[in-house]
Amino acid sequence: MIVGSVFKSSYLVNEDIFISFRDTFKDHNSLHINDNHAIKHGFKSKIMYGNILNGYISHLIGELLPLKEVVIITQTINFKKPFYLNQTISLSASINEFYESVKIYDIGFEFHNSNDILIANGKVKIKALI
Amino acid sequence: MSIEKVIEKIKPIFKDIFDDESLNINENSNSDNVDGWDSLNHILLVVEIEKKLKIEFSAGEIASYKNVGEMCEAISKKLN
Repeated sequence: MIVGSVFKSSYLVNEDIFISFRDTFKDHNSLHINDNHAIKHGFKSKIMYGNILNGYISHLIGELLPLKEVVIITQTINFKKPFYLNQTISLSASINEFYESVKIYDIGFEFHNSNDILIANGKVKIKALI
Repeated sequence: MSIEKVIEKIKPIFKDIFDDESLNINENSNSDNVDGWDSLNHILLVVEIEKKLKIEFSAGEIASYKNVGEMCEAISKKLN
């Protein structure tokens, strides 16, 4: 895994994912479950949980990267725009730095919707265990 | 660069990583006498020091330092 490598994937945020997240983490905030309430606050409909995106970071680290023996050390995410049910979200991540002495990879990532609007960005540091 | 100047340069990094504005490291500081200096913070310290000072350590070097003074001595040599 070399600096400059880019990894991409896309995800459909469907009803199954929405319901699974809602029921697992018990976040029943009206902005997430009530279309009319969300519209009153200027959104197009109920907004999806931002932390669904963190699940896709987990998919990136655990499944997309060629290194399998890694753990996440730190992660930051900045939410830029809301996303909605049945939208497809694209993830693009790049290896920005590698610190050989401690085997740390610094990875930058961005999520965009199908209109190429930036939904969120952030950074994650992972440590290679071997 | 002198060891004293290196310590002054890395003090803000320690304060940031340990989230402690009152932390005042010196040459004798090590993982035994600085609260919260665990393996995770150690990794983050190394990463931030390499990034901010634009230097690189080897894994062997990192393991050999017994305290901040030894690390700063090595940093001083890399910067000179």
